[in-house]
Amino acid sequence: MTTLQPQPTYQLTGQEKRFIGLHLVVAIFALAVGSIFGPLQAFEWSGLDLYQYLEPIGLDDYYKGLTAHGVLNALVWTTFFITGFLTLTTIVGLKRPLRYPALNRAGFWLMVVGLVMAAVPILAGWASVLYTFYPPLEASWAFYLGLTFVVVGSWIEGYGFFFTYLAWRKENPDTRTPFITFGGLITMALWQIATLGIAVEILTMLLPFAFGLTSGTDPELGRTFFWFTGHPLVYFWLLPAYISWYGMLPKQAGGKLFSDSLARLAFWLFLLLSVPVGFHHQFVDPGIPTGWKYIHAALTYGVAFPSLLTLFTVVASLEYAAHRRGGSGLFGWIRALPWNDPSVSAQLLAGILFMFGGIGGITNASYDVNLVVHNTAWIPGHFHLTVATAVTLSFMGISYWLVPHLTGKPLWKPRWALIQTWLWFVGMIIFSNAMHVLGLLGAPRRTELGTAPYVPDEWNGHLLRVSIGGAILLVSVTMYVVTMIRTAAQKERVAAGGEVEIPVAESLRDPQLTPLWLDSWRPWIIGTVLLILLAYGPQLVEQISNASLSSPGFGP
Amino acid sequence: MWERKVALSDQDTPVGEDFTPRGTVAIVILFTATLVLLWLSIYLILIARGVTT
Repeated sequence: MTTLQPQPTYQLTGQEKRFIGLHLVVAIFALAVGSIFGPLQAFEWSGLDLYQYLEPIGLDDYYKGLTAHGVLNALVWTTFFITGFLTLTTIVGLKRPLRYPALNRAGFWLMVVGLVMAAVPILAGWASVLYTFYPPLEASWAFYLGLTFVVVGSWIEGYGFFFTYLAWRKENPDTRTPFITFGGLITMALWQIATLGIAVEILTMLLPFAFGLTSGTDPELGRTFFWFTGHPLVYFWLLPAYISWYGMLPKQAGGKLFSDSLARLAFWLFLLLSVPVGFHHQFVDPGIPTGWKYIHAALTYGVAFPSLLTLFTVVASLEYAAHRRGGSGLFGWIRALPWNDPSVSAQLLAGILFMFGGIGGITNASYDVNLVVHNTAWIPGHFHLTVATAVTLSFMGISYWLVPHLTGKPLWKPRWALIQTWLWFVGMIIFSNAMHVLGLLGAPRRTELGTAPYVPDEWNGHLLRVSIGGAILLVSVTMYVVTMIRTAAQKERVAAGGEVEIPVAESLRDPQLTPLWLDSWRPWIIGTVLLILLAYGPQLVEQISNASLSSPGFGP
Repeated sequence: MWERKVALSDQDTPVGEDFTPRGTVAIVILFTATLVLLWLSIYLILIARGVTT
């Protein structure tokens, strides 16, 4: 074992802190607004229709709320938080400022313009197409253009990270990329590749249709383009949480990253495997040959491998930390982790529930099981364990040190924050379990079940559990938002010398001992492109050459 | 009360260089077993409900 000397850390400038903080302001605002609609849906499912009271402000439509919930929480909260967080991991990891800060600022403000452009038609009821915006559902052109701006803005921020990395690399040709930066760059590379799907979908099909230049859309091709992006989108959400789990949480727990090599291998494998798996979201689509669905199903199980690597490496890092804190025993060390730190507890609880999210994911990737559960409540039950817990609860945990660091103010009521993390954990267990069971019982998703005449009695208890879980989650997210606002707005500042540090974990072994091929972009990018061409190429040629833009649009 | 976490220095570590994450291995094994059991249970539930007919 090589003992490493602590390296001096980069101190963010006031301007850099404000820039990262702006991302968090937008992200948390989107989370706050979007989260109001989630419990409304849950209550509606159990027969408590609160939409009627929102009629005076025009928010009385279930599907309008469902779209706002999905777009604001799954797309906006995540994308803004991630671009802000990755700005920090780029600067702090490389210990240098952004190469072209104006470029990143331009990207950020383009995202903000796009957000406003997309939010207005959603709230006005001109874009009740849910966050998947499947054609032939039709939305206002402003919605599509707004989403395009959000994506392009995030690309531009990504370019800013890459330029910064290249400048660092020129000065440090033989140094391994610091892990937190390495993870952020892969996340952005994955995003740039993956979003080509929705970019093509919007620019060639949906925008021309929304502008009246074409008479219809091709739903099958639209869904294929969407899921080219849609599954790696999950990893765009997850990888920043993994950056924290691998590269920061061990430090917070008092330990080190167990294996720098395994961590990097997992990230490369996510880049390699997360795109060419999109057909597992289209198992019930009749236009895709079964053979291609099986190929994507097999590759989907391939993604389970880096997920297992992540489980092993992160837990081993935590076990190491716990032993250093005096923990012992096969499982007794778990108690020695700093569970009273809300930032740590949020991420530990997120990780625990994510194990079950992983099990559900592997299960519903099974071709025959998916045919049964695909259009049921199982699926939102599953992704509330992934994006709404592994990702969201981790981001909450990160913000419990990040906001104090950026503002120079102590976390407001840490005990309150700790309770918030546990409420999320408990609320999500109730909510998600009920959704999974409802899915197995055949309850449809994306459906206003409170008004459906076909709901059997055996669903009722589970529908009630959905609304109880939703209510607890509403309380939890409210506590989170209040904690963030009160932390930033309070007058109290941390005492000199007591500033909250950015927790960057050292590796147990010197990262310079990590094999060079795990810090080399060329083979992995070539492999990723080749695998995408093999897994998607023939079907894309087939579907594009047979495309028929003939399906008329419709809205609610 | 919540206390700020304090990173331990190498001098404080009670963990030897031969640290083996035995608990982690046990957790991965338990996870894998849970995965198999839950996955199988889904098949059994669906078959029992007659969704294959």
